[in-house]
Amino acid sequence: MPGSWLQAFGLARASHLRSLADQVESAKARTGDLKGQLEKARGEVNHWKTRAEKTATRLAAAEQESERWKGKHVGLRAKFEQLATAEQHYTLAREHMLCLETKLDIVEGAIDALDRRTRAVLSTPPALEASEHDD
Amino acid sequence: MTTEDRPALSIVVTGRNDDYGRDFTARFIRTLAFNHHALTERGVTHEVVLVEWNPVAGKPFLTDIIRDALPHIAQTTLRSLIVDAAYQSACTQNPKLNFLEYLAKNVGVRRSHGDFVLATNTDIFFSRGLAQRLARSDLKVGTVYRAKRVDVKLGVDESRIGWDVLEESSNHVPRGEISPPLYQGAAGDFMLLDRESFHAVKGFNEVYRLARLAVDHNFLVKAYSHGLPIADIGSPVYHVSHIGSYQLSKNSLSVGQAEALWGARWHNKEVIYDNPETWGLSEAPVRQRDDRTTYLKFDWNAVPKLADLRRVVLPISRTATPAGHRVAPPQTPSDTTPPSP
Repeated sequence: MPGSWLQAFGLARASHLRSLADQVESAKARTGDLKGQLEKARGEVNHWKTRAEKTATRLAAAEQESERWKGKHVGLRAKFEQLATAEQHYTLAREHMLCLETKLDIVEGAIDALDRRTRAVLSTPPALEASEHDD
Repeated sequence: MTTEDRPALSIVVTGRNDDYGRDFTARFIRTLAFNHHALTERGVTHEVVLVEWNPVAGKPFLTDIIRDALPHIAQTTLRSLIVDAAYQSACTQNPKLNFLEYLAKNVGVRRSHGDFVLATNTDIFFSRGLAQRLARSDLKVGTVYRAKRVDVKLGVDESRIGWDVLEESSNHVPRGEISPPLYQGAAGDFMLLDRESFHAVKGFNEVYRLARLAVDHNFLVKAYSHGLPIADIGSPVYHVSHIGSYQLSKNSLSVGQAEALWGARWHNKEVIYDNPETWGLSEAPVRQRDDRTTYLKFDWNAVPKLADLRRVVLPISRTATPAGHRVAPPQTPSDTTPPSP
């Protein structure tokens, strides 16, 4: 048992020392890798953080825009309703105007007819009128 | 007249011995004989109510000419109403217009005896399909029936006219279809409605008496506003084009000439009327000339007011119609109906 003998004096075999040194080297390399990965992850976190911030900003802006459009939509709907009412008023007014025009035509026609009748009566020879009265 | 004596159909036509549109009397005699034969052959009981409006002074009555030409029809089918010429000048609101056609038609409609009353013109030939339809006796009460008018070209030989000539499409002048809701277009040539409904609507417009043009279209607006559906009867009527007809003359006459014949354009699609209860000169005193001719004597009491403005009204809009059409004001393309003859 030379190993146990060497151990009793605080010594180790050379092969064992080499193996341990290899393990240390390997651990060191792995630590380096992990450090790299950690850095990369930190970078990504920062990247996403920035993107999240940007998205939040854009979302806020979109929300603001949406509110603005909502307001606009309400305004437009009100405008459309006003337009429909105005159209209805226009139609009514037009109908009444046409009705009035028709009535005016009748009045004008009646005046024309009466005018002719009056002229016909006034232009009747007096002699004829006298003979009619005699009848 | 008892219900049994009542004819199925009254055909109301108007005219006078003025040679309107040239050969007026000859054209009338031809169509009268033609239609009478078509209906009689199919057993359709009918009367022809001739309203002689504003008879021409110094000339024989149209009625008498027709009676001489067609004695067999005159004795059985023809009833004449001769309206004193003074009514024309007393009623007119347009002294340029010499024939108040629709006031004359109202005189006939008011005094018709038939279950159904057809207001038409003196130069309209019935089609074979129309005569058959009338013979079926399946017309609905409360529906205004319209028929498309087919114009037969000018210059066609009318001496031996028959359905073979009328139905020949190469003899036809192209013309638009009639379509819902009003089926307007030469409506004055064919307006068929049951007598009760005609009376309920109180006939054609006699409040606005400045025009003869488009009064038929105005009646359709009025009837629809009144709640009467309008339908195409399914078969046409024929009209032989002649010199002086509206279709041929509307663009060749001067404004003054055209106004004398038909009056000026007016708001016939938008404004309607509510005739007085005395429509159709119902209060005119009468004198029987013989058993088939009545003379309406002039009386100021029978004359409608010269201006009755409260009777000028707007139509009721109807959007909930079966066809889903809005009618008032009807925004249909202008189709001022040619008065025919």
